[in-house]
Amino acid sequence: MRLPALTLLLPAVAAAQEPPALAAERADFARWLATAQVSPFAAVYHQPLVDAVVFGPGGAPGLEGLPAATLQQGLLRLSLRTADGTRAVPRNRDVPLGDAWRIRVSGERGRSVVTVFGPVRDPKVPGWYPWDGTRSADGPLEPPPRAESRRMLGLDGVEVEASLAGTWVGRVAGEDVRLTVYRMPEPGTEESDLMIFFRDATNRQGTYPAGRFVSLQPLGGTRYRVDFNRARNPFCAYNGVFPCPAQWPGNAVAGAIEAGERYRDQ
Amino acid sequence: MMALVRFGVLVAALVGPAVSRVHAQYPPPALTGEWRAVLDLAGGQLAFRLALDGSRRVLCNAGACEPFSAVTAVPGTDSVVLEMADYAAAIRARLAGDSLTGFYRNVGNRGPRTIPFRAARGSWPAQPPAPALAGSWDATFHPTERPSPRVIELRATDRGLEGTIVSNSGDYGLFWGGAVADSFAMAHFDGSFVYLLTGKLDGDTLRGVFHAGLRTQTPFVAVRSTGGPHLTAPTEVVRADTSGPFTFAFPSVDGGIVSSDDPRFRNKVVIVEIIGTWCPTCHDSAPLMADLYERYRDRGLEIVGLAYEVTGDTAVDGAIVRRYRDKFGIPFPLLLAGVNDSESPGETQPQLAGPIAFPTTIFLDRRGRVRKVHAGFYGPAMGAAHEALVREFHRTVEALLAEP
Repeated sequence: MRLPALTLLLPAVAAAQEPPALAAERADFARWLATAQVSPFAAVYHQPLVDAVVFGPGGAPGLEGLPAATLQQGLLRLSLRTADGTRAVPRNRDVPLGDAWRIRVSGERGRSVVTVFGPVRDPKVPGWYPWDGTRSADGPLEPPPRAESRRMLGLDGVEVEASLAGTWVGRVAGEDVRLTVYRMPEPGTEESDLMIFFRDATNRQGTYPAGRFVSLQPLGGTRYRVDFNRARNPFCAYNGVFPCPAQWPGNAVAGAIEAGERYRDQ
Repeated sequence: MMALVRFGVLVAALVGPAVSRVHAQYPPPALTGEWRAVLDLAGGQLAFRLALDGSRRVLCNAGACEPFSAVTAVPGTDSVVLEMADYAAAIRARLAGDSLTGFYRNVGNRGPRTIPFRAARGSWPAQPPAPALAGSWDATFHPTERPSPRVIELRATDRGLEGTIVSNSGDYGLFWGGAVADSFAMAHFDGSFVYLLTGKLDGDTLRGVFHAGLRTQTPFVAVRSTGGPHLTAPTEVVRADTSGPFTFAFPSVDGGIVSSDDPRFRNKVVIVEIIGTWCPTCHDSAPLMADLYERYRDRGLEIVGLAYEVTGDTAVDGAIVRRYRDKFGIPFPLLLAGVNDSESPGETQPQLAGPIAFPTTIFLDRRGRVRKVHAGFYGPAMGAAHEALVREFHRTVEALLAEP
C-alpha cells in the first residue's frame, strides 16, 4: 500500500525541488507573454514582405483596422508612408504606428518578414510539466561531417541562416538519441543559440503537435547539457499568425518527454 | 555599421521600464560601497565592478563606467534592483550581509533572458597583465562553421589585461581582465552587451572562445598581426555634395526647429555629428565632441548632433535624447533627425551618399561646405587608434578655424 502513496507524492516532491532559477524564468516568461507589447499574443500579422504591405481600410487581411499606411521595400530603403509623411524603417526593431500598433521587419533585404503587433489578445498562461531532473542529460556534440548552412525558421517564425553544428548524443526518457543541432543566430546581435527542434510521443498528447525547441547549454569542451525542462513552444503555438517550422529530419524521439512547456489548448 | 557590433537588445527599451513596483531609496544604505561582481555565463565568469554611493551609481569594467538609472530597495524584502532604463535591463538581487545574489535580465525578440549574478563587497585587485600576450592578433571566428575575420587588440596595463575586438564594422568596446600563465580572460559588460573573451597561447597561435550572452560560444584562432590587411576597412562616407552649403533643419529636443540657416552657424566651422543614443560607439565619441566644443567655441566652432532614434515619436525620442545629453554634459544642440536605420540618414541627408555609420562626423568650413566626413569612431578601447583619431579631429578643426 505504500507504493501508491509514494507515487502520489512524487509530483509534489518534484515540484518542490524545482530549481528556483527555473521557476523565476517561467514566471518571467509568463509575464512577458501576458504583457509585452511585442508578445506573440499581440501579433496580428506575420507575412513575408514582397514589395509593400498596406495598412488600414482596403489593406491586407488583418490590417484593415489599423491607421492608413504603406510599408514599402524600395530599391535601397524600407520606408513607412503615413498621413504624417514618410520615414525609414529599421530592421529587427519595432516602430510604432499610431498609438496602439507596432511594426517589426525581421530578416535581411529580399527575405524579410513583417510582424504587426497590437494589443495583447487573450493571452494564455503557459503550462509546464513539473520539473523532472531525469529529463536533463549531458552528452557530446559530434561535429558535422561538413560545413552546411541553410535558411530555417526560428521559434519566432523568422527565417535565419542557420549553420549545422552537429549531432548531440544523449539518453533521454530511457532512450538513446542522436539529435541534429543547428546554430540559430539572433538577428542584429552577436548571440546565437545551439538549438534542437524535436518531436516526441507527447505531441498531441499534451505538447504542441509541431514539436518544441530546446537549447544546448555548454559544459565545456564538446559536452553539452540538454535540459528538456526548458523545452519551449514555437510562437505558432501561441498565435496562428506565425508559421511553424518544418520538422527537422531525424529529430523524432520515440519516447514521451514529459518535461518542459505544454500546449494549453490540449 | 560601427554600432551594429554592439547593437543588442536595445529594442527592448520599447517594452517599458524593466522595474515596475519598486519604491525608492536611492541607493539603499546597505548597498553603498564597492562590489566585486560576476555574471556566471555558461562558459565562464564575467567580472565587473559596482560602485554605489551618493554621487556614483555605476557599473564598470576597467576604466569605463555606465550609470544605473535607478538603484532601489523593494520594501519589506531584502531585494534590491539596479536598473538600466536605457537598455530595459536590470539586476535584481538579494542582499545578505556582504553578498548579493540574483540575476541580470534583459529582453530579446524571443522573450526575457536572465544570467546569474553575484557580488561581494570589496574591489577587484589588479589582474596579472601577461605582457607576452600584448599586441594585435588577426583572428578568425567560427573557423570551421563560418569563418569570419576579427582583430583582437591586447594591452598590458596597470589594471591588468585590456583591449578590444574589432570587426569589419567596428569595435566591441573596452575589455578588461587578466592572465594566468598562457591563458587569459577579459570581459566587456556595459549593462547591455555581455561579452567574454577567453583564450590560451598555444605556441604562436592564440586559441579561445568568444562568449556572448549566457551561452553563445564562438571559437576563434588567431595569429600575430603582420600589419597586412585582415579586415575589410569600415565603410567610409566619401561621397558628399560639396557643390553648395550642407543644410539641415530638424526639431530640437528643446522644442523649435534648428536650421543650418540660423545665425549661430553663420561663418562658423561646424561639426555635424550623426548619432543615436542606442549606439555605444556614439557614447564613446560624445565626450570628445563636448571637449572640442568647449575648447574651440570661442574661436568659431559650432557643433550640432543629429539624433536618429528608435521610435520616431518626438515625445519619446526627445526624452531619451535629453537624458543622453545630460549624461554626457553635451553643451551643443541635439536635433531629432529620424529613426535609427543606416538608410534613414541618407534619406534625410540627401547631400550624403552611401551607407552611413553611427556615428558619422561631418566637418563643414565657414562657408558651410563639407570638407571632411569620418564614418564611425575608434573609442578608448582602441588605445593608440583612439588617440590618433582624437589628434586628427583636433587638427581638422584647427585647420578649418584657421581659414578665412
